[in-house]
Amino acid sequence: MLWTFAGKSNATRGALGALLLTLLLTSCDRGKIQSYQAPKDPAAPPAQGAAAAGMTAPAQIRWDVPSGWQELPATQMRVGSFTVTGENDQKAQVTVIPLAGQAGGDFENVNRWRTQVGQPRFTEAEMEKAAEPVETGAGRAQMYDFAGVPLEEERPTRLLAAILHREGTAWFFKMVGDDLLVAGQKAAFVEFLKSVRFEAVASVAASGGASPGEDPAAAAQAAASTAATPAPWSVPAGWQPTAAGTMQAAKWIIGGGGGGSEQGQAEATVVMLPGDAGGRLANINRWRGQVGLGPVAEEELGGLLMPLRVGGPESYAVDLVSPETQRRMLAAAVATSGQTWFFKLVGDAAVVGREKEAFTKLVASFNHP
Amino acid sequence: MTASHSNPATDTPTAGVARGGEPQPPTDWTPDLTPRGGGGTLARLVQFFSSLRLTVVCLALALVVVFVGTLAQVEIGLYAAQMKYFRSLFVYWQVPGTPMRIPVMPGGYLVGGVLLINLICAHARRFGFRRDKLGLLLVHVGLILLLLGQLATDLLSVESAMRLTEGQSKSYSEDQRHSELAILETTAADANQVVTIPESVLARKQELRLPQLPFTIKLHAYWPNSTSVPPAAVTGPSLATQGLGVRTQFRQAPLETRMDRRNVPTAYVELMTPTGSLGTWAASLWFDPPQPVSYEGRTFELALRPVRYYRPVSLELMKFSHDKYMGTEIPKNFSSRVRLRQPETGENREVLIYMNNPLRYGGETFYQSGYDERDPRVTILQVVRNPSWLTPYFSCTLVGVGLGVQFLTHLVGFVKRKRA
Repeated sequence: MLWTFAGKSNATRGALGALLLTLLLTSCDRGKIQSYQAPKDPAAPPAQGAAAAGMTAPAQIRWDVPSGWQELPATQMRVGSFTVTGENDQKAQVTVIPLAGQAGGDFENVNRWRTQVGQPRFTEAEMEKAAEPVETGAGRAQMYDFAGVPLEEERPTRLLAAILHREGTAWFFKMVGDDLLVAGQKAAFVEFLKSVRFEAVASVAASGGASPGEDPAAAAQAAASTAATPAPWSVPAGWQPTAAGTMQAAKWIIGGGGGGSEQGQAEATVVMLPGDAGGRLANINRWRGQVGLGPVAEEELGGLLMPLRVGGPESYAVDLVSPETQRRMLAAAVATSGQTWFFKLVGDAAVVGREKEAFTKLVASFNHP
Repeated sequence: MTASHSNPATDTPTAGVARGGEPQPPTDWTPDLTPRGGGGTLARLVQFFSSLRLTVVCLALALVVVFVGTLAQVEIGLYAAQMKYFRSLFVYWQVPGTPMRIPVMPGGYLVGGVLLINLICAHARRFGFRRDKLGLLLVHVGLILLLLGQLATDLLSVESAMRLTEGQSKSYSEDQRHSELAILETTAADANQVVTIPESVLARKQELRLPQLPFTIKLHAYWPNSTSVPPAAVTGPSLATQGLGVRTQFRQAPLETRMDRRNVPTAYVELMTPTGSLGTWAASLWFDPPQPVSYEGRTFELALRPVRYYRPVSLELMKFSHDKYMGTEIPKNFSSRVRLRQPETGENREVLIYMNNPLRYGGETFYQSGYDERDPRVTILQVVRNPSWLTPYFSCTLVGVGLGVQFLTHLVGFVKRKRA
C-alpha cells in the first residue's frame, strides 16, 4: 500500500489547514487608505453638440413656445412654466425642470409619474416599450404618455413627460392636466420638445466657461432664466462693461487709476438665481471667504445686515471689508418673485469705497421685471 | 464528492476483509477515534468534521441557501442577494424598526467552508493516498480546487469599467459599485499626488490625520446613498460651509439593490488645520468636478469618485463603431479600435475589441461592454482581473481524469477477476 497516511493526525492537520486557509482568505481587506502619484485626468473631448458647433462656452436652453401656451414666471425649480387652457375650463400645466445628475433615475421618475395618474408601476421592460423617442435640438429625449384617474380625483388626467439627459443634467419636460386637453396638445408638446436647443451666449463665449465652484444644474437654471430677462438698471458712469461669466447677467470693471493693476481695481457683477440661492447665511459666509474673512454664525448675521429698500422683505445687503487683505465687498441680494438678484462690487478696498455711491445708485435703479 | 460519499457499500468494505490480497484499513463512516489514544476533544472534532452526516447537512443547507438566495434576487437584485446569501457566513434578519440583526441561516461561505473542511477530513481519514483510490483522490482534489478557486474569485477578482470617448486616453478604470474620497494635489505639470480614502474608512466617521496632508479630515456624515434635496424642501442651512454643497443639499437615501443602478454616496468633511477649520465640504458622487481647497499656498482638489484602478498601460479610443440593424434600434455589432500604449516597454499598437473578442493584457481582460445612447462616440469597456480564472478549468480536468481513472481501475480489476 503506497502513500497511506490516513489517520487522526493527518486528518487533524487537514482540518486545521483548511480552516486556517479559509480564515486567511476571508480576512483580506482591500479598504485601505492609499497614496500614490497618478497622471492628471485627460480632458474629455467636448460634447458632440458643442463640438459640432465649435463652441467652448456653456450654452443656454432655448425653445419655441407653441401658440396658446401662456408663459408663467420661473420659480425655484422651474426654468420654464406654462399654462394651457381649453374648453369647459380644462387646464394643463407645462414645466421644465433641470436636475443635476440622474435625478433619481429615469425608472423611478417614470413610475412616480404613473402613480400620479393612478396607474400601476412599470417594469423596466414596460418602460422601455412605452418610451417614445423625440429628437430635440439638444439630443434625443424619451417621452412618455400616461393617462388615468388619480386617487381622490374624478376627472381623467393625462401626463406627457419627456426626459433629456445632457452633460450631467437631466431635463424634465412635463405637461399634466385634463385628459382631453393634454391629448389634444400632444402634437404641440412634441413640437415644443423638438424646438428645445442650447445656444451659446455672446457674452459668455469670451469668459472661458464655468468656474469650478458652480454646479451645472444651477448654472443652467440661472442661464435659462437670465436669457429671457432684460437688464433693467442704470449703469454708473465710468464703469466699463466686460464679458459676463457663466451665471452673470452683467459685469463691469472699475479701474482704480493705479495703472490698471489688479490691486487698484474692482469689479461689479449682477447674477440672478432662482429662490434664495442657498440662503442668507451661506451666501454671506461665502462672500466673507472671498474677501478673506472667516464665517459667522446665524445669530451674528443681525449685526452685518443693512436695510435695502429695493425688492421684497427678504432682500438684504452687506458691506464686508478685510483689514488684512484690504479687499472689500458690497453685496445686495434683491428678492423678487421666486428669484434673487445679486449685485456685487468687490475688489480693492479703496476703489470699492470710492464707488460705493455709484453702486448704491445701480441697485436703487433696479426695476425688476 | 457526493458520489463517493453516498456509496459506502462500494468504497468501504467491512473492516478486515481482504481485497486483492491486501489488508484493508477499517473505513467505517463514523469510526470512534477516542480509543486510539489522547486528545478526546480533538478527536471528536475531527470525527464531527469528517462525518457523512455533516456532508449531507451541508449539501441540504447549500440547496436551501441557493434556493432562497435565488428567489431573493427578484426582490433585492443579483448583487445584494449574492452578498447577503452567498458571500456571507450567516444570513441575517433585521428586526423591523431596530438595528438588531439575528442570524437565521448559514451563508454560502460558512456552508462552503465547512464542506471544504469536511471533504478534506473525510478523504484524509478514509481513503488516504492509496493507489486503488487514485481516481477518487483526483476527484476530491478537483472539487477542493473548485471550492477554493471560487473563494479566491470572490475575494480577489476585481471588476471595473473604462468609459472612453473617441480621442480620449485613459490609464485607469472605475469601480461601478464602490467609491472613494480622493484628495489631489498637483505636484508636477502632468501628475497629481493622490490620497484616497475608501468607503469603509469613511463609514467609521473618524478624524483622519494623514502624513501626506497638511490638514486633518473630520467626517461629519457619510451616507452610502444620497439624493439631492429640492430647493423648495430645504429646511435649514447646509452642513457644508464651503464648495458646491453650500447651495446643494443632500439627504440620506435607501441603498440601491438593483444591478443597473448604483448608490450615490455623499460625505460631509471638515478640513481642520492647526490654526482652525478651513470649512466643511460636501463631497458627493453627484458632483462631477473636484472642488478646490486652498491652504498655505497649496491647492488641493476634493472629490468623492468611483474607486479608480490605475495601470501602467493606457488605452486611447480611436474609433467606436456601433452598427444597428437597418431601420431599427437593435444593436448589430459594436467594436472599439483602441491604441494600447505601455511606456515601460515601448509597446504601442492598435487593438480591435469587439463582442466575444476581448483584449487580454497584464492579467486583465477588457471586454466590449456597452455604449452611451446619448453620445455615439463613447464606448464602455468592462475590465476584469481574476487571478484564479483558470482554477475551474483545472478542477474540471482533474475531476474528469479522476472519474476516468476510477472507472478504468474498476474495469481492469473486473476484467482480471473474470479472466481468473
